[in-house]
Amino acid sequence: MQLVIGGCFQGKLDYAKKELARQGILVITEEIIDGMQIDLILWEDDRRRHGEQVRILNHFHLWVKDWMEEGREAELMPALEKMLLKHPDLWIVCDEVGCGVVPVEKTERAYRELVGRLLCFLAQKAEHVVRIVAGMPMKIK
Amino acid sequence: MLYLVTGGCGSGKSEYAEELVCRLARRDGIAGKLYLATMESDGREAAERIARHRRLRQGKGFMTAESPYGFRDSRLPALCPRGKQEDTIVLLECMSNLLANLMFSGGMDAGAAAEEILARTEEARKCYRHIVVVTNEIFSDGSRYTGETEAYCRALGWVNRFLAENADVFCEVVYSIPVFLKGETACRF
Repeated sequence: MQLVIGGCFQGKLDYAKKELARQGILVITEEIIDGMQIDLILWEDDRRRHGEQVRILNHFHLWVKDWMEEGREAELMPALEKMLLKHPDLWIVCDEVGCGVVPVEKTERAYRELVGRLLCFLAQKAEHVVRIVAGMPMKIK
Repeated sequence: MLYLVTGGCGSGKSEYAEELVCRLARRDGIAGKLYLATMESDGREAAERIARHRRLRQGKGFMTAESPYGFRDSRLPALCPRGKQEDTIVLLECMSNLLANLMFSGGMDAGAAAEEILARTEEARKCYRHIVVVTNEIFSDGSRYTGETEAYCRALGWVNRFLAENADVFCEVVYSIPVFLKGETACRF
């Protein structure tokens, strides 16, 4: 699994697509992944690599937000673990949402915190972690 | 030495800082690990947060001082092993709470609070073997603030910049991964 993080509008998804293209994998179709909400965009390649499809899960933070709003935060970690088993080649793209002033709303605070904790888990599991600033990748793992 | 650790919410900066203190203590044979807890419990959420941090520290051998005003606490030297500050590492957790406490409970204005923090940190640096300061990245939500909140952000930015400039080591923890801005070699164990 590869993890791509950074602020919004920094070119994270472009980076992921370019990297996959560089490896000869063309990402063309758009699809929604298992149990995820409409806001989530899933890009799927039209080829197979090692018998597995390489997928990009974009807007990871929005998935967390959607499920929290539905009161399903306890299901996030098990779903994530299952997804990683099913798609070991997954690319996960996520905004960094924890670097602002502590929000007044309790649910907003819980959301930032949970995105952070899940990303800590993903960063430990990831093969590479890349942080994108203004389109420039910085490989931090 | 002064170690400054920053990071956003849920980044794992506390866990990293605690681990750093334990490693420094082992490497340098330092007896005392003093945890300066600055968070004031003012409700259930804070209490849960404090409880979570206590669980994380459990078994790591920290002496905890509940010090909302940080190094202003006069009991600190007595909490070091045999009163020896030079044989003690202090972990201050965290700068954003300390500044908020000085301003909002202590009634100081932002500039005076920041100056007190910097002066006391410099003073403490001469006494303790190592100081590890955890601070917070609160600067990137693209919002515009006014009044006290703006003054607070500005002061924390100023404190962070001053500490980073004077620190021996400065790193940002990004989702459990330390990204060094200076002094990485001092953190290779």
